[in-house]
Amino acid sequence: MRRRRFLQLGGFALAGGLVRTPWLPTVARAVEGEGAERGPILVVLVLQGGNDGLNTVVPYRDAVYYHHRPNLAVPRADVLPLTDDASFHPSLSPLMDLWDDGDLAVLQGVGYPNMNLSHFRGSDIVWSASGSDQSVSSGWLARWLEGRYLGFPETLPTDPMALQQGFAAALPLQGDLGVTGVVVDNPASFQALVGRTFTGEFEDALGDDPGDELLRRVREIDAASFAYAAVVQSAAEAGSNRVLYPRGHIGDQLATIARLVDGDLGTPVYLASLGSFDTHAAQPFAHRDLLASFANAVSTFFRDLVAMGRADDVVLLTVSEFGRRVHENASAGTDHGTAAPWFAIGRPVIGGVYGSAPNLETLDSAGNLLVGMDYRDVYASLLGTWFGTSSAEVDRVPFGSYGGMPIVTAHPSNPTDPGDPGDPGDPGDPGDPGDPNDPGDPVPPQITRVGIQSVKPNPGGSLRTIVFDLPTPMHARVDLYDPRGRRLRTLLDASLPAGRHERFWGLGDLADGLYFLRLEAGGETRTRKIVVR
Amino acid sequence: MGPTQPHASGLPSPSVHRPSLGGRSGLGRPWVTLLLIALLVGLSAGKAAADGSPGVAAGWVPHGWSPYTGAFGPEEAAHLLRRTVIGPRFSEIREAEAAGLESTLDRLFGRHEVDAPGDWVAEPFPDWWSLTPAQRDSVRQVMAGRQRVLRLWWCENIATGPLDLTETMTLFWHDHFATAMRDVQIPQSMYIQHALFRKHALGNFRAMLNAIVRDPAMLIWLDGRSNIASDPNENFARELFELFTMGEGSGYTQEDVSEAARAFTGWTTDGVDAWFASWAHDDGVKTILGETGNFGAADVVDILLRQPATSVLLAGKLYRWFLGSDPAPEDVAALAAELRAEDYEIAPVLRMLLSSDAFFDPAYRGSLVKSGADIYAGAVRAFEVENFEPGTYDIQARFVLAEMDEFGHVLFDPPDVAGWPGHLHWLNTQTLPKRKLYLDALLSGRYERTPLSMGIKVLEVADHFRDPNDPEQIVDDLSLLWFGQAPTDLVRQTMLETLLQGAEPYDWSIDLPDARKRLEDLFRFVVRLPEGQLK
Repeated sequence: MRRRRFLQLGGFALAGGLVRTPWLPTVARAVEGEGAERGPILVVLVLQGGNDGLNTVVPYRDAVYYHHRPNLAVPRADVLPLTDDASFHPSLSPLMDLWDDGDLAVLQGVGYPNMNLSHFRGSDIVWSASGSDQSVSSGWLARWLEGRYLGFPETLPTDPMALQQGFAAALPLQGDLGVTGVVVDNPASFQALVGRTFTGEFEDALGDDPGDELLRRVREIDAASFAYAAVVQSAAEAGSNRVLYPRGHIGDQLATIARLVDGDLGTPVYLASLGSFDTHAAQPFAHRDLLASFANAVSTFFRDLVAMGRADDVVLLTVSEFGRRVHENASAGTDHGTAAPWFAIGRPVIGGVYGSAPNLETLDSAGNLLVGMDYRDVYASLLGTWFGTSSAEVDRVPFGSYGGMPIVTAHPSNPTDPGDPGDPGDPGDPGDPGDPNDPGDPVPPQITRVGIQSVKPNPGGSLRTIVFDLPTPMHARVDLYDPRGRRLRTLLDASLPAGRHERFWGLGDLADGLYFLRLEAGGETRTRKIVVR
Repeated sequence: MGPTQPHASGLPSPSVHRPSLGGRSGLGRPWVTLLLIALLVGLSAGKAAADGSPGVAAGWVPHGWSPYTGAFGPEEAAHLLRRTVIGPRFSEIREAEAAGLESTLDRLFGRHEVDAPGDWVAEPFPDWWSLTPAQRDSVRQVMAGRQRVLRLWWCENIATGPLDLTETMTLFWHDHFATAMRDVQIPQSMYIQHALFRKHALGNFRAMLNAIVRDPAMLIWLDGRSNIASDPNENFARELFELFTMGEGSGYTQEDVSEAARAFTGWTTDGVDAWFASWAHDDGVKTILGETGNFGAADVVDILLRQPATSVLLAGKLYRWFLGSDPAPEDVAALAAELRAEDYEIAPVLRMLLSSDAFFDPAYRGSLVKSGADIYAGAVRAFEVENFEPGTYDIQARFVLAEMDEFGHVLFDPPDVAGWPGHLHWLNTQTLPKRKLYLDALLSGRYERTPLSMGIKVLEVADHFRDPNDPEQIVDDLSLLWFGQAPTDLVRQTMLETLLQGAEPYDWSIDLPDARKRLEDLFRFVVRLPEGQLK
């Protein structure tokens, strides 16, 4: 499929003149057969305007919440309980399946020290992954992408680094070197749009024409639209949605992303947005409807990904510049606040509630919530685990050492970390006798058969490192079963190379007790008993 | 290229200076000669081109605001008009050059009045709660139609208005006090606010602020109408501090915002009229930025205008709008001091900027990205498109709105209260091809799914050039019109080849049977070039 796209790109170039000119960025051509691997994808969904966290993840057993919001509070009888102190707004009911499957992480109290209550400054901070006292003009995704695609901007990767729909490029994609990624309104007609004003023949003639810095930037944008026109449109044509999406802007955006994922666009980052969360007045209906559009679209998106067999490749993160004031105001609305929950959603996500419920008794001087979790830890954890980005590189993105939150598993395509020296076994491990994967052993063991080498820690909580062997390249599947033989979730379903594989997984929200992990590979089955306590 | 070309091909240039004029061919063109003289004069005065190599990323070195004393040739005239008028025509550039800098400035600082888009602008908004659902639907339909009419009406004013700063400054204030019709809804309110921006376009910022605190659209947009003593709403006060006056991080606190919100309590609106309801006003003592008193709205405006930060914010905005994207703080500070000295009169400060040595530094030519309006309304004006065919008003209104939307510049609907981010944010892989497509359509007179036939009449445009029978003159005048300056040698050469299509220059005549087709080819090439996205 990918090779076909290259041919189309070539055809496009032939039809319109050369895509490459001395001053245009060149598009790196993949070696034949390379690039077929499907990598991890992150969808960042922005809830613009400052989402009211307290009415999204409702502290339904906290009387203080009901005291401060006599008109706005979600009635206790209406909420959808998640845990003892957290519940969903009823509009989020479409997300309950994802929650029940352990595919939804609620990150409580996300923010940063001295949160800024301006939409613009607040968004700038969250997009640039900086502190409230820093002024940074590049976006966190852009800095990460620039590190991942070192040739940028002189050489562009075969597929866009990031894709955003609409008409304006957002700060997260604004890099130090240029805009990383493309803005496309309608991928299905992008090539037609660009092709109709193609100036390749002229630009080729202009050769090594100089021009100042600003003109060079405009030419780069021109070049990126030429370079990606065929790539994006052919992915849009090759892909299709398997389910019907709810009407509306956010449904349209997520449907397009799913279609491009299905069409095997190799883009690792997508941006989507949903606006109007700035509910200063008349909040109840407006917020109810916003949450419903959000939940319907997201739930449809993941059903679509499951149907197309790509649910293991996509993680969605919601981001909002701040939450809202604990006290409601006189206009039946809420003013700008601070910390609020974010969501990480997808099959690779380790479901559950992270962080503690908002403390409504202890507020700051303006009546706002204290921050429980730094948003940069969320970014860094996603980059580090989901994308397998090295810790040095992760540190570069949010300007400091963040991360370490086990909210997501690694994508199977990530290079496995050969024996992390920082983790010398697990002291609580009752012992897997004769584990040949002893850290520090430089000689890889000869692998002759399918097997589960270890599950650590065991007994333990929801998070486990599992080491298993495959003697030849084969398809492998790992499922979690309860003692009655019901499959609770699929941890892995992928074709993998031969060798020893180490995966870090969350088993989801499990009651204490006995469970089984089953590895099926090459017609063989291996089962390992695990204890959750 | 000439010896001053500073960098190799394909590498980022450390300099924003355009290639030296001396390195170009076509020295026979009189205005290039004039410009060379201007440069020499400037050099001998120790001013022009003495600024080293300011970089886009590194920031401009400070210029000071000494008046420009160099020659006022075609490129200077084009630069001045392209920054002050949306889509100046070639004839206007020529007129400005002939009139000289001072007379042209006099003309630019004139004002023009426009007729309202209809009698409905003063119509009271019906009492929504007394309407039946069917009545509400019909009101909604009427409002939607008027909203489209309002947008087209402004575009028409831009495209047909005389040569002065009114439209540009009205857009400047709309961008500054960015208010969105999608929230305000009531077209009357948006027209009333627009009329306010027109009235104070080149007036006094204090008068503007005092009018904006009681502006119906603003009272709706930032919730001022629900800001009452018993429960203040801080939305307007916060944006006033953060975006309209002092600027974020300039020293005020949340407490100042809350106190100011109290001072604004009581102002309310029905969408057309605004009034002060004393029962809703908090007449207690407030402390704002260290001053304490029983303050009302006008007091807050005065307090904010006493803060130097307010003048710095406004000066920076004027600088980035009219001159360059990355000003040196010293220059902004000097401009801010002038604003304070003039007690926030805009005209004298803007005139100082537009007649400064800095403004005419060749490095600033083509240093800003054209806005969406510069493309969709500016091209209509610059290329003398006979708009707006009678009988197709609604089609045009929908068409213009669609184009605005695709360029991310929907008049009366800024993305948020901070206005349009502007400059390079105008361009991306979606908007740039859309801009080219629109200009293409303007040239062909064929519009996708839209039965309009207005178009650029290339023969008429070329007829207004200095010598339509001289192909080099056509190329240079078209460059001046659309790029504001001479392009690189290679672009110029390709333009010439596109026009001549193998013939010799002396073979060209505007009366050739295929002259129109060749001109269209040339124009099409020109409007697709990245150079045309800059001003």
